[in-house]
Amino acid sequence: MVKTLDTPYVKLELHDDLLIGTYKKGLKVTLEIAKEIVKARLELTDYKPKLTLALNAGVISMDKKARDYLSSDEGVRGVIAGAIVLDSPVGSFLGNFYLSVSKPKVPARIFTKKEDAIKWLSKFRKTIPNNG
Amino acid sequence: MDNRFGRIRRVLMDYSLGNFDKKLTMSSRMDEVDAFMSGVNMLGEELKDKTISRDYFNNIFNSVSDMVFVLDKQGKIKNINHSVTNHLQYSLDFLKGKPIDYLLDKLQPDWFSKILKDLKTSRKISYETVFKTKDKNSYPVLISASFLIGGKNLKEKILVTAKDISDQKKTQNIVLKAIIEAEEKERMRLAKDIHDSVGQHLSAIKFYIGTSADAVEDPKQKSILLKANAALVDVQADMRNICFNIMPKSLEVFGLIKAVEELCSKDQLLNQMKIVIKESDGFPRLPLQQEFALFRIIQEFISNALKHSRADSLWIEFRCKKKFVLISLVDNGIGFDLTKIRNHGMGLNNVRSRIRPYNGEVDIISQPGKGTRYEILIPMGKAMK
Repeated sequence: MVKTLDTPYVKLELHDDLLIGTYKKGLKVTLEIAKEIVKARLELTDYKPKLTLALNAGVISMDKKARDYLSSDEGVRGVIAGAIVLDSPVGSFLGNFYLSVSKPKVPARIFTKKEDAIKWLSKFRKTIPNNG
Repeated sequence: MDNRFGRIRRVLMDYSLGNFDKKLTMSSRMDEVDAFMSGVNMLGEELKDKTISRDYFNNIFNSVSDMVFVLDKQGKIKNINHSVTNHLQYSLDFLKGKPIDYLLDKLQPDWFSKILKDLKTSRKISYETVFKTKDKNSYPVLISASFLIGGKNLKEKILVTAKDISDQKKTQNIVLKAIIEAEEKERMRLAKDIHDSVGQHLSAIKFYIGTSADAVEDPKQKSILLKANAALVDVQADMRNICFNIMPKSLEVFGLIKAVEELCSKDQLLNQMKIVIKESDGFPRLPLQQEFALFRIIQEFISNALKHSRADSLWIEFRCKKKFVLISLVDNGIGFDLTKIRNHGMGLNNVRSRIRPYNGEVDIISQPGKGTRYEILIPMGKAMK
């Protein structure tokens, strides 16, 4: 069964151990918004670790505090590994900057195709705890 | 041309001038140029964050009143804060690349090697030492040192902080001086009391025995009285020696050199070693307390030469140079390894303690099999005529 949660910033879908987040168009991510997104993600997953797929086409900016938060222990809580799918020049720049400079504390990679991202994430499936 | 490039150029100019608050507003096109603008904005945010941290660090680094040195693992100076320049008068350019030992008193050979060795067994170390300023003034400091952990958790550099303890040392010296002076006064009183009371009584007894010996006719009784008289002469000689050791009258009356000459002319010394005393012209009388201190050091040196060094020759030289008095004490004994007794050489510490209140210094040079040399340097103070 797929569980969903729609917030003003992101639409979340939980497919067993895979959480897919689709960001809303024209989103400018600030620290407050980043915290709201993490809170929503943890509520949907019941605070259990999941593989996370972010469809980031809608994000047009993310400020420093938000980037630092999303790469911190709190920001990646409940994330086993994160794949980010980008299909816009701005999103691509932003995603690469985030991974290279902010350095999130979980395995993370950028993809242009959703299928490739899911395939990469599946490699981490065996690391999910039994109760996840 | 797309006017966004002009805005990017201006923002990059602002960043190069340190104005990291400037931001670019992206267009609704969301194309590659907007992507680049987004990157420029993020670059500005990162630069602002890191640059402020660096300024913040520099402010702290240069505001602390303690001297701070960053050393590499060879002990060479990589960085200093403003306090080092303020206290020691050396610039960063001058000190950069020089070993930290360069700043130290010459009495502390291989000081940095000792720090490194101690740091391997302890996270943080702390002890007192003396720096020399550019003007060659002594600057007592309390040193703390610890490793700076760099990338990959490596102990790449060493952080040394030095706290000025001049005032503390001055207070210690005042207390030490008071203790030593009180001790010398007490010795003086004791020697005077022995001389004036016991000495007078002994003289009186000697007179009575001598008179009785002259008057008595019985040869047996006469012989006993003459033996008692001879024994009293020995007691008087012993008493004079004891008084001299407690407090030589000649020191007070004639000064340091005469007192040392008297000390060295004692039969028990002359029978065991050859002593050469040299004196340069114009060697002054010093304040009595300084002369006491120097006399005690010389007395201790001679005693050590006899008891421990197994020396059979000893040289004592008194010189004066500008506003300083220099005294060299040399023996030809078995010597010792300074590094092995550095931390527990009570006798050597006593030597330093005695002259420290008068801003004196002593350089102790010795090696096994090569004798021992003390080089004492003490400011003349108010010399007595």
